Amino acid sequence: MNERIIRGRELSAAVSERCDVLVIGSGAGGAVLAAGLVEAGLDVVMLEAGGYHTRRDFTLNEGDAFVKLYQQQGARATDDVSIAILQGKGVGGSTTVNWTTCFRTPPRVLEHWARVHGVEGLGEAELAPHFDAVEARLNISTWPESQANENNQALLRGARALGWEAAPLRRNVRGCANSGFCGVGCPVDGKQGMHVTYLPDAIAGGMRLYTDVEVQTLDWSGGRVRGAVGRARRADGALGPAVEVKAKVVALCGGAINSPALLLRSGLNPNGRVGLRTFLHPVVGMAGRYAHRVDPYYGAPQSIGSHQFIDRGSDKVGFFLEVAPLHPMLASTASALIGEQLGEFLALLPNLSAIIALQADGFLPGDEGGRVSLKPSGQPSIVYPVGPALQESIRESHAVLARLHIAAGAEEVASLHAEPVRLRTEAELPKLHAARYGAFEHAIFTAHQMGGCAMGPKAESSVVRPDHRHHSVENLFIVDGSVLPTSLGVNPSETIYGLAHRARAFVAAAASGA
Amino acid sequence: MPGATPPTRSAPASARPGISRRSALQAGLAGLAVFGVGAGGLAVWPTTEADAPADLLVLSPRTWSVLSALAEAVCPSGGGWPTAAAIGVASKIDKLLAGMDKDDADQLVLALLLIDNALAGLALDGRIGTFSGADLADRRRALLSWRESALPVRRTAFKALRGLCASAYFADPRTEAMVGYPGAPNFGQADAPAIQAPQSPEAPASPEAPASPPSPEAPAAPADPPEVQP
Ligand SMILES: Cc1cc2nc3c(=O)[nH]c(=O)nc-3n(C[C@H](O)[C@H](O)[C@H](O)COP(=O)(O)OP(=O)(O)OC[C@H]3O[C@@H](n4cnc5c(N)ncnc54)[C@H](O)[C@@H]3O)c2cc1C
Ligand code: SF4
Repeated sequence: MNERIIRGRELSAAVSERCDVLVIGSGAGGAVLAAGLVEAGLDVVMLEAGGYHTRRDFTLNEGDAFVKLYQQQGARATDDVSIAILQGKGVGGSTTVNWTTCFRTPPRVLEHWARVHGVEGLGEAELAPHFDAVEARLNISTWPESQANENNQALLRGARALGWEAAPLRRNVRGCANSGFCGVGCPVDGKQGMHVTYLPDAIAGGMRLYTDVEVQTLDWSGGRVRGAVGRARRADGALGPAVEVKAKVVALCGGAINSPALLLRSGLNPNGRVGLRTFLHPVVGMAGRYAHRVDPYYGAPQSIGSHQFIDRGSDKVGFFLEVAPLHPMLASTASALIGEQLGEFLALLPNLSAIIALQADGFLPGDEGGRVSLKPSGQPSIVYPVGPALQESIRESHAVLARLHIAAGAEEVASLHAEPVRLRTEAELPKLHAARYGAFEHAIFTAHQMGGCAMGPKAESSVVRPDHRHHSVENLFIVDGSVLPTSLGVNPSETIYGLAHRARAFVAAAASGA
Repeated sequence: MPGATPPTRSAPASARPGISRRSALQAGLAGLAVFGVGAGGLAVWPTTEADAPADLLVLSPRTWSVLSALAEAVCPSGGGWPTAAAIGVASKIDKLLAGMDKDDADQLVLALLLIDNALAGLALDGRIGTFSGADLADRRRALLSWRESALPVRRTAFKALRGLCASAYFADPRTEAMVGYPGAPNFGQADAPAIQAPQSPEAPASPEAPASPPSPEAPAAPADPPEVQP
């Protein structure tokens, strides 16, 4: 299997490949798709912009991991830097660093896609066999409540005290040591990321995986794509030799933000829809300080969730609740404090819990989310306005988060505003209501990027058809989180695994018939 | 594909004037030129120099010294905290900049020059002298005024530079003791086989036993058990 992983950083001469299917990107979409194509007997080449790292390389140091395993070394953000964007880069894509929470796509989201966006063929029953298959391969199962760490127990305790729904989450793990380091690379391969599951499957079946090779442009004309051209990157960051791949079919699986950027770099945007409707599940959080140790850096990062507030009526943005693991670096970037105040905040870390609210964007009429375009360098530019509807849901989220911590027994609750709003009792909630909400007022981050190459039946309003085929380039498919017509209101990985599993048949048919 | 019209090639978006956009930071920084702060002026403006290392990749000795002054203001100091200089924050960020998209790195360097610029400081803050020449309390005051500024570009510059400094500082194991973070356990992963064999889907672990020994190659428990739960 080793010789089929070709490290671009070690290439000394240009490479030219020919295959049935070129898969661009090795994350949730690319890996599940590629394994199925190999199984169908197709010759597959995969190009991945990031490096190949195994658990041997996972030092569990945040600074080291973000540089190696995240887009833009962890510094990706909206152009104005008001929203920090956590997105994976490397073999396995974001699944190598994600927090393992798995949900099937909620039926109400599938119904919304059918009703509002005209997406047919994605019913609950139609997707069920695909979810069954990926759940079996990735060992997706409920993490026992008794194993939830104290950070997650705070959410559970708070919700139960308030009479709100909260439940243990399902995770893609096998022999997880409950360590808490999912975000920096699982040290024991307990996380069933793509790098230890579908990618080894595909490589064992004959796929060639080139790492450190970023595709610059698609080679297309007249409604057909012939392949793509990428450049290897050396360990010191300098550009290396070109890698050119000719293929009968190309599957773009670079994820939201990167897939639209590649289409734009390739001049492939016939209807002007590429990059539009990019959704982020914008996340806001609240720190609770407890008298006892929470150790929010240890234990499975996300194991309890609540959808109590996902449906707030047809004119409001819903949100769902989970917790975020707090390691020192991530915690320091979530605050806007400096100097002694920053030190005082970080020194509380062992006793802090961070409950987060993820905003389900893209469902209200007129909620267009953000937009991906290109910087002069060809890298993605991301603009995401936090408008009045989101400001309202973020304000409400803050009240909910504070109430949860207080009900769970926190001594003090502090928002992530530039000047934190602090409260100890529910009687002080008006302080939070009086605070300002929106970009720059408080920390906002995203670990869920969706949309930008929306799926839909009409060429004028979407980028790919419901079978993932590009509307006007017949042998180009997009199979990743960028095709989602809205956000999900649940963590996205399993939706992407399931859609990619379903897309195998379409891509294989196109490659076999081509 | 029946009925489909082959698309025509659009120019890459950045090459088209109508769609081409500068990022907010660029546009905002360009806006500061109304204060007479041209790039030439920046180059000759006096500054407080510090001992920059010889092997800088992106920063000049000048921008390195501005960043060092900024890092000292962002990071905690006194009370047992190591200084930003002891952690080498500015040099760590220099390495990071070398791996960044050039547009982004250029903007951050420009932001450093603008923060330090005496003329801009006078025009925008009423501050006399350079940022890097100011004492620690004044630098912190100036940074907080950027954080709260009505000018979006200053909030952007504050957020970007603060984030880099805080990240470089708190990712360093030498700050862990002050944070009270016991650190990462050793799972023996460095000694694991180089290429992980594909795992068998036929061997599901019981969800009831999540903390079972992770795999034969790794020790069942951290060598030096910290407070990993359960
Ligand atoms: C810190 C973090 C925590 C998360 N936690 C969860 C969670 O608990 N549950 C959940 O469901 N989801 C979680 N997610 C999100 C989830 O992992 C992603 O939504 C999912 O992996 C996206 O799948 P994808 O195939 O669209 O893209 P990715 O998995 O991101 O893969 C895309 C890959 O394509 C590569 N690529 C991009 N452009 C190119 C190019 N031009 N050439 C070559 N290669 C390219 C990228 O480098 C990347 O490796 C988390 C994400 C992060 C970052
Ligand atoms: S909690 Fe630790 S052992 Fe479990 S999957 Fe995450 S990183 Fe791996």
